[in-house]
Amino acid sequence: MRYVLKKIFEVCFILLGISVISFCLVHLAPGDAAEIMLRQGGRIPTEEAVTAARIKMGLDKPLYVQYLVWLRGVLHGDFGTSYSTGRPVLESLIPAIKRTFQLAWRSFLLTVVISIPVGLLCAVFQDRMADKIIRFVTYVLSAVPVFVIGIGILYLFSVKLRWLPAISNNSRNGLVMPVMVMTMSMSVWMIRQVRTIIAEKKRESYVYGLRSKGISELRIFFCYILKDALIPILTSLGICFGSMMAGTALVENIFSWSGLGKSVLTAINARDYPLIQGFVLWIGLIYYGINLILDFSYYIADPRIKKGD
Amino acid sequence: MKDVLKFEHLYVNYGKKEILKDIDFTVRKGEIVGIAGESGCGKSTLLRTVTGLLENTGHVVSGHVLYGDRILDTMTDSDYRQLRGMKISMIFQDAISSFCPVIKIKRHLYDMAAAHGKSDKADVRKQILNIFKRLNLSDGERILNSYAFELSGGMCQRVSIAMAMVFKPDFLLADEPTSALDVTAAAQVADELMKLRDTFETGILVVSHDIKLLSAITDRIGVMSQGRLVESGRTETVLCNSKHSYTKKMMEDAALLNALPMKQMKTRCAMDSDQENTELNNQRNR
Repeated sequence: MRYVLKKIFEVCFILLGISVISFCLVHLAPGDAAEIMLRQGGRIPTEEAVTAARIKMGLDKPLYVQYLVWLRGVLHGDFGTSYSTGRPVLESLIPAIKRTFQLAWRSFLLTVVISIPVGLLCAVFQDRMADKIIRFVTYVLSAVPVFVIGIGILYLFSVKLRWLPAISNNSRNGLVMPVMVMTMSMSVWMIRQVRTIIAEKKRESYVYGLRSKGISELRIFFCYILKDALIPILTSLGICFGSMMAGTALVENIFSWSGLGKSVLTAINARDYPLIQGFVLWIGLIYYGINLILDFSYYIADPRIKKGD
Repeated sequence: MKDVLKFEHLYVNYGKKEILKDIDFTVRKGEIVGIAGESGCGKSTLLRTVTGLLENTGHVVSGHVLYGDRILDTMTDSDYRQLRGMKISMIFQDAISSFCPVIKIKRHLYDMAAAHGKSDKADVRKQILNIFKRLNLSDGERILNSYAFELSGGMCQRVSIAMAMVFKPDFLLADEPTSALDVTAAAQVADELMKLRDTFETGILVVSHDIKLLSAITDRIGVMSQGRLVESGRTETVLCNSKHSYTKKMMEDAALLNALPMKQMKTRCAMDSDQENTELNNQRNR
């Protein structure tokens, strides 16, 4: 019970902290939210209209008052009203989260299926030809910006081959290319992570100790090294999934996939403070949730942590 | 005749760098041989050569390591694995680090046994618990179900010794076995090594920079400097009547740091002098 209460207190403290920081940062950015909203549709608002809008949106109040008003709403389940859509923030956020999740879990699964075996292969055949070739390919791909890969894939599959729609329209077919791009960009990172982690574990003192006992290399690798490498690999997978769930704005914009990344980019351009704050809270919650799952998995997988408690 | 571990004019390189040069000495069953020397003189490489576990660029340039009549340095890896842990065992400076931190002690033991065709876990368990008792390790069951990090350094080193001895190997290699331990734990380990020699007649090769340890437990000692064995012989002879300048310097430094109390040295030297006279007389009388 105490552990649960501690975790609840922790998450509230963290979310409070990041909401304060993001609130201050977005308000420091140049641009007037009221004016931007009134300029939608190409209209040029008068000064009186802007002033009236600012009062209506509560932007005339001191910053701390605006924050406290927003916080009070959040504590009552009201994340505010989006300046751009005029609808409740949750109405925009929840569908965006669902669409990003659709993209993220598919990309994550493919990343795991590709990167773990390939990373292991590189580690087992370290510095041999297979490892050198794979490492070269991952270095080249990681140097290429994601939007270049995205545009390249879009050109190949939509323009040249005409196999897939250029604009996703949030459809199933429309998922293929963004998943390919996200998988590619995360896999190249994950392969190198797995390889590095396993290569480090192979150099640990206990490996020499096990060999001196006559235990076979195969057994040492699969029963000892892999188990010891589990924690850092899980951490990397957590980071991987977290960054996918945060929504990669570039990928979502290229393929017009209306996920979190695309939504928040639009919100930032529009100075849509309630939507930005809503996004920040949700991303904070997602990352905290992933960290919590990781902590729990460390507890299961690492006896040093379990026994430490 | 597997009662001899012999180094025969051994040269070992890492890449092009010479690490061991013309190493030539013998370890017999039932004796403790020490190798003293500063850090980086090649002591650990010597042990790695015996176990066939030289690091990537390490290789035997010339010479041999013989276990009985078997030439170790030309053996295949699968033949070597049959010897490691069974006929030639090893213990390490940091015993805790020689175990995988996320695997229990018993798993290490069972895997080692299985690697040598001993799949009867109950029998292996019984053997190790017996050895635990001999090494004054109480609560053997708890130790087997523990992880290495749960044990103290001294306890873990004794567990290492027990595991190294479970199949009664002919030779035990000890790489700085007490360097990471406090003086009490170090004394216990030193005592255990001598018991192994006396009880199991195991041949023990101890490499260490700890002159105090080597002077206390070894029967014969070799002194290494820059990959060469500069002096070797009976421990008392080498320590008290050093011939090589490096050995003399090493002993002076040891005395300076009070590593070997002068009174003790004088007593040993006197004993050695008596023993030498007795041996000489015996030889004349034959």
